[in-house]
Amino acid sequence: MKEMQMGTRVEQQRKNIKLPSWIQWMAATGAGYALGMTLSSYLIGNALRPLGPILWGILNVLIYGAVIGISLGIFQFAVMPRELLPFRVWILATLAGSAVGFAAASVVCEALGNAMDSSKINVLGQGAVSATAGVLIGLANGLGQWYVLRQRLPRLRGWIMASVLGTTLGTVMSAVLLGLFELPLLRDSPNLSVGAILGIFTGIFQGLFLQSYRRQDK
Amino acid sequence: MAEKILRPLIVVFIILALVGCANQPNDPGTDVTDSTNTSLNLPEDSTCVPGNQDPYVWRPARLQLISPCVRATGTLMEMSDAEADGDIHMELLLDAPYESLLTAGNQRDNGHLVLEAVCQYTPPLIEALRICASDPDPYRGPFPQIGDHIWVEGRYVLDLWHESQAELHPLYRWGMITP
Repeated sequence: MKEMQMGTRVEQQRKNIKLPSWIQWMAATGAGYALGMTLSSYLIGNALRPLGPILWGILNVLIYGAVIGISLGIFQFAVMPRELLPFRVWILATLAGSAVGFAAASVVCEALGNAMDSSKINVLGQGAVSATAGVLIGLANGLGQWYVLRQRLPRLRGWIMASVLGTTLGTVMSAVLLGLFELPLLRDSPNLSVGAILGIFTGIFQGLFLQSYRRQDK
Repeated sequence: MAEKILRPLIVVFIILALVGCANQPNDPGTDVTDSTNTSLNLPEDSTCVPGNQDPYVWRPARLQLISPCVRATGTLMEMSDAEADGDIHMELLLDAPYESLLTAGNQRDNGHLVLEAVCQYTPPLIEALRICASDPDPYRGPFPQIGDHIWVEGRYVLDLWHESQAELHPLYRWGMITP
């Protein structure tokens, strides 16, 4: 009886958690990715450069992804309800997902690109490479965040799908806007632009998922 | 336990972020190569020696190699900021003796020879990310200014994605030509 009462109370507490709106989530994710990619690019391009022979290649990319993850985690945590998860848990999950996602995407996309016929530009092929990057980054990030969120929010597998869809659309759209249309505004700060586009699309999909989750839960 | 790991991580992140932001590419105080500030008369019999930047070109198969190293002279007409692949793109109006380096494809760049200094920035293009992150010693600026009369050396290639335009890609080195 006592256990049942306890369970009901925990369930009630969970239902009282006020999840952020999709607009809040989109803004936080967009800002997190944009700032993260900008900071990361300076770090890898400058501060860590002297360590190049030691921190070569893939390790540099892991750090690149981890820095993006920290920035993303901080901005997203700012709009999350405080009672949902401790700060350190959310940051570690996002950091780990982002580091693994960017490292995997860089290796796989490089191999995929080199395996293609490169004797002429292939828009569909480039789209496939960009989409692959999005799938891998979204999957790793989505899995990392889902792993810690599921303890407080059950039936959350759709979070992974929302992350994959949003990030994939983000990488494809950033490639289209930067590569095909060569918009000067975006070309002036490519890391900031790509980060913002990636974050906005990821944020929209994740935010809309949170919104539908909130409705279903009621 | 996690808190013990996270706290120093955040401190390190903030320190690195501050250091990184203060030390931007093309800061004249960083990584100045010996050739960039050298004023030289172009010796006719000079030997062009390839640099060490070839491994850091992403998707190498899009470039058709014509010669491992070519020297040319001309006037710098265009220079881009950061590009999505991390390269800096420059355009050189070639002096008459070197115009034979151009192809019909160079018309898309106003009839100029294209120079690509690779991995100048961390690229948001994921395909180029690991490659540039592996370069411990990229060829850094300062680069010439628009209007400068310069000599350049680089790997002479045709860019198959851009109408087989002629490029020095990567650019190995450059210097001013004294009048």
